[in-house]
Amino acid sequence: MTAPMTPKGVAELLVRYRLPKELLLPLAQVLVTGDREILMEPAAVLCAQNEPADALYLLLEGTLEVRRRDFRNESRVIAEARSPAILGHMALLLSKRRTAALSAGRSGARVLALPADAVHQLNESDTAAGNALRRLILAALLDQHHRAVVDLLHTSGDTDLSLPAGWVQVEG
Amino acid sequence: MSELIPLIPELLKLRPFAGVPGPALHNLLEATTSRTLTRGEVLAEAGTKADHAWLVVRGRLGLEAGSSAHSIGEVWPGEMVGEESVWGTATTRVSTIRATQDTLVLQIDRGTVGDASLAANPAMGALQRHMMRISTRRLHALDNARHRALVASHTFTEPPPDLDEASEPSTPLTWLRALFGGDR
Repeated sequence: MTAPMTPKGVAELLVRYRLPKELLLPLAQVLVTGDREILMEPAAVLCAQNEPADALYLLLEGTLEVRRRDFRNESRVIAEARSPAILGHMALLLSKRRTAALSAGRSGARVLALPADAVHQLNESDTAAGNALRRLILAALLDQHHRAVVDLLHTSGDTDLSLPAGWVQVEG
Repeated sequence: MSELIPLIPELLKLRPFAGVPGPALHNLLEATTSRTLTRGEVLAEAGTKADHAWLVVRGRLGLEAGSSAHSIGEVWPGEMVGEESVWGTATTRVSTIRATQDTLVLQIDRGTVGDASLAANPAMGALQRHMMRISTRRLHALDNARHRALVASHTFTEPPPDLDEASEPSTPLTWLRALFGGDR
């Protein structure tokens, strides 16, 4: 099922990743060119584990469950992504197969899928649109990176390896 | 104007700027500053406000975390540190950054990254693509380390086929090290 995209979701993505509103216009232009908006019913599958990465996903509404098969080949939920968020960028940038499956959560989801070809083309272009998309993806990657570091320092169980004094929780 | 402009030929040899036109790099450098550090000097302390990123031009930086200042990585010429505060969402530093040699760095802030006149600048684009590659590989390395730890924590009659028996044991410290330093 497809529907026209609303700019609202894009604006919320910018807020989520602490990006300036000046990126709204170039980003909206990128996302309405060759994009696909997908309205997902609860539990509907967006992509499967091990399939080739053919799109970047922008979660505009709802939630997506991130599932991975364990060594008994049982599918397990390893995370839940809440809107607004970017997903699927790792496999796309590494040109690898999906390491996890994505399916809509209990309330369903609204997702914008930006085709891999368009992502790669924009990533290589030195234009305002390319800059806007790179900044969005980079913000998502570095947010993941920072949270992983904080999580490791917070949960290491090693008193010598803990968060520094004066550390402040990141919003969002 | 950046003191680094005379060093453009040297900067163009660094991996992030390989293939970038000199005039584009010149325009980027005009929007940045540089800092010179002597060996042992602290560039930023863990727990303080994070509002700059630094690209090492010459020398070397060391990263430390925790109350015992565990070494979690090194930053070599052509590599960047602190990028999560100017391109990402971080507001507080989690590691202390110290010069382990006399070091020259290019200093970038959110103003530079958001400068509209640099939106189509090939040097800025090259820097962004470089950071995307490094960040993606770091996160992938962490994912692999977690995967190995998950495997190690289970008892199976047959080891799973992708278990790398030669890899070092995963600990929070080895995981952290996977998230810092350069793409070496």
